Amino acid sequence: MEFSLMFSEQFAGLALAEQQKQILATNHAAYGDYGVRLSPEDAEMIAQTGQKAVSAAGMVAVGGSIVPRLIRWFLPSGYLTGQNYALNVAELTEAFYRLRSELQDAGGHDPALTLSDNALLNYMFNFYTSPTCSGDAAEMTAQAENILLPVMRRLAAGRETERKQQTKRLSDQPENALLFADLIEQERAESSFEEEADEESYDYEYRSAMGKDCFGGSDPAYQEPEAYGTRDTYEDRLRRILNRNPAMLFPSRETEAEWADRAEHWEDEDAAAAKKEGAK
Amino acid sequence: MSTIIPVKPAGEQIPARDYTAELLRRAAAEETIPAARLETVRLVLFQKAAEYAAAYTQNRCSTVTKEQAESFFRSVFFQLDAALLPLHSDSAALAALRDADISVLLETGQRNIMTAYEEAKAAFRRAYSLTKPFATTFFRELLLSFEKFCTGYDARFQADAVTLNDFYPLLCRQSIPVGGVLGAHFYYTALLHEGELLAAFPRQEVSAVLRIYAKRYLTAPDMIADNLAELVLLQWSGAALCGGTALTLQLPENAADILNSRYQYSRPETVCADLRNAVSQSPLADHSGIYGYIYPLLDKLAGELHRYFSSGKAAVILPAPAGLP
Repeated sequence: MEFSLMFSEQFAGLALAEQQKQILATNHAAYGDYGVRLSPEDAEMIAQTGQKAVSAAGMVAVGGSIVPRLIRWFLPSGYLTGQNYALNVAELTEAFYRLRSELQDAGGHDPALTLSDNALLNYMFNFYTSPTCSGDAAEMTAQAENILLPVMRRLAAGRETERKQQTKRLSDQPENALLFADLIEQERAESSFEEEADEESYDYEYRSAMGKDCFGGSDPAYQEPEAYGTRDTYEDRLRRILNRNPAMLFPSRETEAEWADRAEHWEDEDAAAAKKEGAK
Repeated sequence: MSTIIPVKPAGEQIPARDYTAELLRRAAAEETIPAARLETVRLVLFQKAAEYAAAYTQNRCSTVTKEQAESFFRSVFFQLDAALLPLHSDSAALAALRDADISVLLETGQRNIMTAYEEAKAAFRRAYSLTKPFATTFFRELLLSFEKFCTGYDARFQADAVTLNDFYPLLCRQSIPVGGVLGAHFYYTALLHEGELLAAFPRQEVSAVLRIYAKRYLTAPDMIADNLAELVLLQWSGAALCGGTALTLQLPENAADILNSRYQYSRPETVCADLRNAVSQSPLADHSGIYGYIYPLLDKLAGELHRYFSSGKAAVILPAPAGLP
């Protein structure tokens, strides 16, 4: 027996059959609420598309398949209907992995600049349902690439500049600061705990203010220069927000937690439906 | 300071770099570990790597890049390396892989990595303070590299990824036999012993040797790109082979002639035997750290000395052939 060190087949997440089962488990919600359903052949085609897309993007799946969550996320869009349902899901799956890969490349594979699956799905959904795209996956991908990638590159460039400045600062450091850098860092981390908490709360307030500013808050002072803000397209508004503050690309912790809860709820529902189906 | 010694004893077949992977590959080929056990080992390792991947993305992302996945996988293998290498025997390591609980081995590896990391940091700090009086400009780069090591090392996700600025060569141009933090431990511990060697000689004599050496090669003492301990050891070897055993770098005036005539027609083994004899009888033998470090390298050093002695060029290899002022 050859002890293969190839990890990709092991890391490829769930097996195709398992993915298929998970995809089919979304049928109860899709059919019950929207009157559409996938056949086992559709599910197989979508799962295969997902695997190919992951592989083409030079990535490895570490968790379950994104497809069930993507279906549940996009069902309310109103564009996943009729005969093209399976095809649309496959296109969206492909677009998801393509955008995921491009965003990771643009972010320099920095873990701090990784957009969560939920955040990416949310952006995709907003683009997809905007009048500009109107359910066109290719247009959605183009819009997302036009708007999100430059922002991610800007954030990555900012971090790179910070790193360079840090290196420059480092080369001017006295030798003891270099020799005991880890201890100094530990000490600073402990002493700045309170300040960090303050900073987080400031961030939250800043985010709220920006949100009000860009999406039309109750304060007329905020609305004055942006009187036509609410009449813009989603793309225009997003571009403007991100131009002002690229860090707004990442949703707040509260939003992430809300999305995570929703995804978990869907998974539970799908699992229960699959169990029920299996019992039959 | 030597709990983890990643140097393989003589006679061992498998190189220390990528030790576990190679061990498993051979075990699979030679069927020294049953196929079912290999499969279990593989599954545990993949499971662990998958856990790291999930932790890396904080469960927010269902994909990682291939490079990241490989890095998690290498981290897991490196933990096993860190558990198996201190056993100092391929057969013992193989037995551990066959019989021991892999999770326990991984935990041992994690502990060893952290021990090696802490020891490596302590070693470099001590090495730096010992070498500081003679430090060349290259030590500034070593210091910057060390800062990165002690603040940026990621034992979980990139356990094997340590970039050492090894442009400052070790004594006898030793290569680092193992990667990751174990390699850093090896390098920094070697620097420590070299620092101890430099500190064992009178400081003024060491400075004088470096000054003379730099002058001969038209450079400044702080721009010497060679290993400082090697220069000092070569100078001391010259003195020792001329009959001195004290810890002084002062050579007899006609040292080069003595060495040329004594060893011109001899074999390298003779120089090595004489050098080993001199080291064993010198006060260096009382410093267990220095002695343990330089003794295995004397063979190489003697070979280098013999190369010059046999062609009548002892004056070239001795850093300060005319003695110290």
